[in-house]
Amino acid sequence: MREFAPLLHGYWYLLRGAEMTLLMAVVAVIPATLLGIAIALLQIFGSRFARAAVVGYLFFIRGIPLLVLLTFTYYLLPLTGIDLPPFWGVVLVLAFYYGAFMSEVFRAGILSLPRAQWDAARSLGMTRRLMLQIVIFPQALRLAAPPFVNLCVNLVKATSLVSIVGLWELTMASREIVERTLAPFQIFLGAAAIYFCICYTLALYGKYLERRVLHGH
Amino acid sequence: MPFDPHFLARLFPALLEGAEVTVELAVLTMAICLVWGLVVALAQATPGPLGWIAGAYIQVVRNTPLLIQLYIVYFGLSMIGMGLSGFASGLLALCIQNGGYVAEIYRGGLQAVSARQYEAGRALGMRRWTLYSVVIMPQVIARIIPPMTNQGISIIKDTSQVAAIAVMEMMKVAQVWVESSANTYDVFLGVAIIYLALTSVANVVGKLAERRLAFVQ
Amino acid sequence: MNDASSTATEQAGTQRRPMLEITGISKRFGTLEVLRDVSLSVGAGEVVVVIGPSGSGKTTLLRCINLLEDYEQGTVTVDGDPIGYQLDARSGKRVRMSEREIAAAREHVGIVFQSYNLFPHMSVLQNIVAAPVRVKGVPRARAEARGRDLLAMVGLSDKADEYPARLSGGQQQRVAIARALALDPKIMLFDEVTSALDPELVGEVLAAMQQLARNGMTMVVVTHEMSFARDIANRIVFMDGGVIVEQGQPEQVFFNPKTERVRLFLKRYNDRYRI
Repeated sequence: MREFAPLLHGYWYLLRGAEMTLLMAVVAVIPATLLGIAIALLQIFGSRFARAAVVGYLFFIRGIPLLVLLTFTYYLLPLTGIDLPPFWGVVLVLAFYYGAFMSEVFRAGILSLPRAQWDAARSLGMTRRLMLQIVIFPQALRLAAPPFVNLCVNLVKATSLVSIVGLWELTMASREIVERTLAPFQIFLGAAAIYFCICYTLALYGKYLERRVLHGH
Repeated sequence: MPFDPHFLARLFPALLEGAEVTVELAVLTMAICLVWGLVVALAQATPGPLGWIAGAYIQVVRNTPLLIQLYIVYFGLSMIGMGLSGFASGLLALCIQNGGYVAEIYRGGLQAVSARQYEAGRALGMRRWTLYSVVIMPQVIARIIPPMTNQGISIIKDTSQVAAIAVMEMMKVAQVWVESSANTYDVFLGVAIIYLALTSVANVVGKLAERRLAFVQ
Repeated sequence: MNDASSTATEQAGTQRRPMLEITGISKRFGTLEVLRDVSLSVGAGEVVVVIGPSGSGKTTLLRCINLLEDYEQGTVTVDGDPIGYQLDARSGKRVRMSEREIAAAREHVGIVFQSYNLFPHMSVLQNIVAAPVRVKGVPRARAEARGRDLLAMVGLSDKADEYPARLSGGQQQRVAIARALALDPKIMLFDEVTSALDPELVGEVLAAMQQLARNGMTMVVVTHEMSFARDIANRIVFMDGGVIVEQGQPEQVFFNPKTERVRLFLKRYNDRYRI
C-alpha cells in the first residue's frame, strides 16, 4: 500500500498535466487553422510571387523536424530580443508548423470540388468572394474535415515535444513523477492512456465525419 | 557572430556524423516497417481475434505520442531488466509507431483494388500466392508510393526525437553544439540544411519509384 | 442462317459428347432463392445462349460453374471431371474439393466478364501470358508466341504492348477473350460481355465470339443481344425466377415459344427494340 500511494498521487498529477496539454493544443489549433486557410487561398488565387513564397514555406516546414524548430526557437527567441513567454513561443511554432499541413488539407478540399461547381457559380454572376463564401467553402470544408481532425490528433501528440524544451505539460509531468517514484512503466503507460483517450476520441470523431462525407450527409 | 566560416568548418563534419546515425535509424525503420506494416495490414484483414489485435495495435500506436513510446521502451524495459541501448530503443519505438501508419497505408492500397481483380485472377486458376504476387500487390504498391514517400519523410523527421534518450543522432549533436557554443544561428542553419537535404532525397527517391512503378489508370 | 449451322442445330444437346454437366444446383442469397435445382448439359462444341429477364439467375448460374459463387446443392463437371464439389462414392454426400484442386479445375473454364477486369498494371500481352506462365508453368517464350496468335485472332496484333487503360472498351473486352483462351480452356463462359460497351463497339466483340464458335469452342453465353443469340446459338435456354423455363433451338424459342413467360419476355423486348 505504501508503494501504491505515490503512484495514485502521480496519476492525479498526470491529469493536471493533461489539462495543460489540452490547453496548449486548443490555443495552437486556432491560429494554425486560420493560417492554413489563408495559405491555401494564397496558393490557389495568389500572385506568382505569393505562390512561390508559399511553396518555399511548405518546403521548409515539410522538410525540418518540429523538434528542431522548437529547440531553436527556445534558444533563438532570447537572442532576437523578443520577450515572449515560452508558452506563447511554442504555440507560435506549433501554429506555423501545423498551419503548413492544414493548408494542404484545405487546398485539397477546395481543388477536389468538381469544375462544374465553379462554372455554375460563375454562370450565376457571382463574384469570387461570394462564390467562395456560399458555394465553395461550405463544400470544401466538409471534405476537409476528416483529414483536419487527423491533423488535430497529430497536434495533440506533438505537444509532447515541448517537454524537451522545458515546458510543463503531460509528458513533462510524467517524467517528473518517474524521477520521484522510479516506476516508469506504470507512469508512462498512464500518460499514454491519457493521450490515447484524447486522441482516440478525436480520431473516432474524424471517422464519423468521414462516413458522413462518403454517404452524402 | 553568425555565419562564422571557421565555426561552420568544424560544425559540419560533426553534424554529418550525427546525420549518419539519423540516416541509419530512418532507413532501418523504413525497411522494417515495410515488412511489419504489411504483416499487420494482412492480419487486420483476417476475421477473428488476430484481426482485432492488429486493429487495436494500429489505434493504440497512432493515438499516443512517439516520445512516450520511446520512454516506455527505453526506461520501462531497463526497469524490468531488459534494457536496450539507446539506438536499439529508438529503432524499436520508431518501428512500433510507424508500423501502425504503414499498415494503414497498405490497408488503403488493398482496399483500392477492386474485388473483380481477385475474381479475374481466381477465374484464371491462380491460387493465393500467385494471385497476390502477380495481380494484387503490384497494384497496391503502385498506388501507395506517394503516401509511403510522405511516411518516409515523416520517419526522417521523427528520428530527431531519439535525441531525448541521448542517442547521438543529428539533433542531439546540434543540441550539444548549441549549448557549448554561442553560435545558435549557425547550428540551426546547418541542421536545417541537412534535414532539408535528407528529406529532399527521400522525396526524389519516392518520385523515381513512382515513375517506375506507376501505370496508366 | 446457313445450312451447315442448321444441321448442327438439329443434333444439339444430347447427341454430342457432354462437355459441361450442371446437376441440380440450388443457391440462395439469404432468404432469396436465386437458383432452384437447375440442371443443364452442354455438349462439346455446342453454343448455348442463356436469356431471361434481369434477376432471373442466369449470371449467377454462369458464376457457379467455376465457383466464383458458391452454391448449396448440386454439382458441376467439365469434360467428366468435377469442379468445386465431388460426390463421395460411398455416402453419396457432396464434398468440397481443396483450393488447389479447384484452382486447377478453373484452368479448363475460361470466363469473360461484363466489366473486362483486365489487370491494369500489365500490358496487353502480359495480361494474356500471366496465367499460362504463372499457373500452368508454360515457358514464357512459348506463352508469348501463343499470346500473339490469340491477339491476331481477335484483331489486336498491334496492341500487344499497350496498357489496358489506353484501349477502348471493345478492345479491352477482346483482350479479355484472348486472355481466357490462353489457358486452352475446354469451355468458355461469357457474362453479358457487351452490356458495358458503347453500341458502336458491340459488333467487334460479337465478331470475335462468332469466330470462336466457328472454331468449335464449347460456349455458354449470357446476353441481352437477341439477334446475336439467334445467330450464334445451337440452343437457347430461357431462365426466369431461378429455374430454366424453356429451352430449344433458336427458331423454336424465338418464333414459336412454348410458354407464356417466354412469349411475354420476347414481346417486351421487341416492343423496346423494334426488331
